[in-house]
Amino acid sequence: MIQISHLFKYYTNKFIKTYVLQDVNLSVAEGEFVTIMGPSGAGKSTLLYILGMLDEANSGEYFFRNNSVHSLNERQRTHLHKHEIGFVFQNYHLIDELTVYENIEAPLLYQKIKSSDRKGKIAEVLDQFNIVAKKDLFPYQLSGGQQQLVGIARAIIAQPRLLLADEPTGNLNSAQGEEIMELLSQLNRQGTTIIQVTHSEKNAAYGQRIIHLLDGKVVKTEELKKKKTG
Amino acid sequence: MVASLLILHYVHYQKSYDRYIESGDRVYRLRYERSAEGGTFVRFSSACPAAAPALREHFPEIEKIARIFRHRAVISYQDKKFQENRMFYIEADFLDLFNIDFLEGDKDALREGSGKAAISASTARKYFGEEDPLGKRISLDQQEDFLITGVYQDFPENSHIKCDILLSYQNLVASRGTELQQSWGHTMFYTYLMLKPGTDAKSLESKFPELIKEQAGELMEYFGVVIYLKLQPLYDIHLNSHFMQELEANGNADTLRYLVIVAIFIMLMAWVNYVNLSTAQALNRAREVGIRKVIGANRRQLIVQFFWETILINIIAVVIAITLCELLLTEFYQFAGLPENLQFLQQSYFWQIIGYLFAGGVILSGLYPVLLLSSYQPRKVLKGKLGNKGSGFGLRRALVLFQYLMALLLIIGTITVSQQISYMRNQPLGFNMEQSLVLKAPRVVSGSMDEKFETFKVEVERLPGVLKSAFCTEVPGRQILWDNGAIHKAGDDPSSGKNYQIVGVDYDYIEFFELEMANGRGFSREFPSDKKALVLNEKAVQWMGFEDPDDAVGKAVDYWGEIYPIIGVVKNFHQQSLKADFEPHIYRFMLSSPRGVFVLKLNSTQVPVTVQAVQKIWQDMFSGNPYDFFFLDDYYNQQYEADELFGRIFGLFSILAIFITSLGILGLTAFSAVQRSKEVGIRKVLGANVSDILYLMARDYIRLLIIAFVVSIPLALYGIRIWLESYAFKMTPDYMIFIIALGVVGIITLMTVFAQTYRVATTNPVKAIRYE
Repeated sequence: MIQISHLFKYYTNKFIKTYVLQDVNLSVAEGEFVTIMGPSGAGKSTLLYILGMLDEANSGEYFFRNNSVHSLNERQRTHLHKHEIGFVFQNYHLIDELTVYENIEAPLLYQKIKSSDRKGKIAEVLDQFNIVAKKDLFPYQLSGGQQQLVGIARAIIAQPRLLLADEPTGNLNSAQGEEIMELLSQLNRQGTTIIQVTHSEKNAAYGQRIIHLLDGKVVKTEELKKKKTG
Repeated sequence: MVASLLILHYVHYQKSYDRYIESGDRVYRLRYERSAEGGTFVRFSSACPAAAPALREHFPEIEKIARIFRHRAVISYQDKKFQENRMFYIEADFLDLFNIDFLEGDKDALREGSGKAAISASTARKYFGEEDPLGKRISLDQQEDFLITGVYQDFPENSHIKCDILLSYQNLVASRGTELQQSWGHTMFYTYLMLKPGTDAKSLESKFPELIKEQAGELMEYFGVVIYLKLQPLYDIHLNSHFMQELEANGNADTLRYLVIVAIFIMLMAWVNYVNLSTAQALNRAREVGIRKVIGANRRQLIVQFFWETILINIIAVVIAITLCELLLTEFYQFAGLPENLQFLQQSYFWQIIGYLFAGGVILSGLYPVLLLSSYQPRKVLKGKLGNKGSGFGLRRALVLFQYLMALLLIIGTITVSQQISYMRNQPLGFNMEQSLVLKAPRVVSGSMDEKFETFKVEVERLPGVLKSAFCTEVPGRQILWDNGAIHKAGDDPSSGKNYQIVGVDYDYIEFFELEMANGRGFSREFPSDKKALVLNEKAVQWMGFEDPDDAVGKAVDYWGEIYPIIGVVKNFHQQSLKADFEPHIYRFMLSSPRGVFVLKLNSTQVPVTVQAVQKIWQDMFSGNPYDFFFLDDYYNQQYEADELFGRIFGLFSILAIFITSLGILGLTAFSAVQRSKEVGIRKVLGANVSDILYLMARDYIRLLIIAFVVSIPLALYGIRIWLESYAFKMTPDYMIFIIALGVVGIITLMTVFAQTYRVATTNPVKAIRYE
């Protein structure tokens, strides 16, 4: 599904290039659950954002489902990102002014989906995540775990093939964290490809493969045994 | 602030008219009104000559009363000759009523005897230069001599009456006869009186009818009219007086009212901006407040701190405003048509206004943000729990709504005013005034005036640059001053007499102005009997009770006992600007009058040469008379000056209003763009593109604008209706103006919002999301 080769990303400051990513090669198959790990500043998030087409690499090739992302224009990239990719953030990034319902609805609005279709989809997701009762609340009225549930609901509402999660449990206590991780692996079993960034070995265990980054380089790739649970 | 100051300055000047007169609150002008059965009602600004003596005799509560009579004539001293239009015969009390300040000579000399004159300082300079005018003799129309006994300070600019020369009243009595002095039927005698302290003007006025009945009862019965005398407070004259025979064009209280409203609007809008921006800023400063509270500041200390900041800002604003006012003053005076030596920084009212503005600024713009800021809970603030909901969000919306409303109303107003003016200018006037030179008739003519005037026309028409010429007593461009009452259809009851405006015209008048005939013909040399005939306009035909112009021609008019046949009817034309309705005119045959004018139609080439050639003929024929001319189109268009000035001021301030509004919106969007950068980032991650974001940011403003637009429609319609009421000929309001106003404000809003938001909308969302 994803094919990255010779990816470089650097920032130029007073003619000195600071490399964030150096010669990263990576491939992810459809339906995989991949974890990116590494110390702070290793370039994990940058890699994730590049994968999510929110950021661009300075050089290298990126194929997403046989589209060469590096040569697409902004419009085509937005289209791809809108329809194929969902994001989950460490601090949820819900829109404060909107209710739970409206937050989940937002991506659908940008995809110009009809009102009646939107209602059906949102109802389904609210039901699936067991947050129907909370649909008219504002984000600040929810606990962190609940907010992240909404965050994930929003990320998958448009049925993306790829879900990118940046430390999805970073701000949660362990019980809430576990709940979220269970949800992610469930989504993965239903066919969504997931790439997550995390510090936690425990969370990494939910995936099938761990990519270790250090100073912008892939230092190790670790295959995990597939869990056969559920 | 500058704008408001200047407007208020203008308003104050207009209101200051006649305030210089001591105890002016007790001074009234006596006005004459006459109503005839059948509807005509004429209101004069002057009174009849018989009124003052009668009042003086019957009402002891009148402390002083004086008649004055304006005389326009040529005054000469040695070889210096000028036409004087502000010359008055005065009764002695006038000197006291108007606090005339004598620089030289004896104030009391003018009180008694005859043949004396006092002149204003500027008139003295005009005739005598550096010489001492006292004891010199000036000549009036080279017929009568006056001895100068005093020189007085010029009347202030803000006086509704300005006299250049004052003459002994006795000379008027001598030259016009004592009979006139007892007339209840004539006007033009301006009468001013001062009541004793504590006298109620209204109750005094209510005693007048009885006296009038006693003195003029017979006359009223004979002419079928009722005469009234009214007291008009001196201070009302400049702004609220629009009667016949006013001494000078007066100001308009309505205009001033509109301007004050505009000034207040503008000030409010500026304050609104301040409140808006400072509450918006308050969110940014919330952290500061939180920290200060944590380290021990109590609410009062915070209030004091923020208040000082507001005061400081206001002081800076005041200083800048005063400086700018000073810099712009000269231009403003030119723009608004004010005299230039008003010294407005030295006037106490100016500092009063400054004081009010300052206090208003501090309180209105300072209070709310200060209270808001100081009320923050430190715990919430420091945890970053302050959304941009609440905390003045609703207020900001209301204020922006208000600004939109003002801007819309001002734009609609500006367009309406300019449309009405252009409507008035573009209507067919019913006569042709192109290339017409108007010459004021000579006052001093030896020999037969009729013959001389006729010869003059023949002479000038020989010039290659002159196409045709005519003589008349009034050219289009103002209300006709000559009016006669008690005129009626021959054979009708005299009580059906009405008041008509009279124009004396020669054979060529109708042809000259290319007036259209509704029926019949104009005065013609071929019919000697035309000298005793009349031409009416359609309105007069209607007033006199004829069915139509066809009915009128061939019938006769009873004009004070003499019977005149009607030989023709001219179509109504706009003698005055389109502010005024058509009035009934009667055209009499007249070859000459010292109050008349010659009109010459010039060939459009070589106008200056022709004007000089005419002057040469003039000097040969009418030596001793000033060559005083103007062009008819300029003269006619002067009528629109006040409206145009109003339009200009209105336009200027609506531009200012739009500017202030867009500044406010600019500030607010700049602020909310920063505030909402995280939200924008998230939305972009969720798939929003640039146009979605722009729409998101502009949406609130567009919604407010639409609400403001809906509210503005009834308000504007009402305002337009009220304003148009003072125009006899109104344009039909074009509803496009609403759309235009909405468009203008809308586009400016969108541009402002987009300029601010575009940067945020196009930045990489990763930045906003990653760095909190």
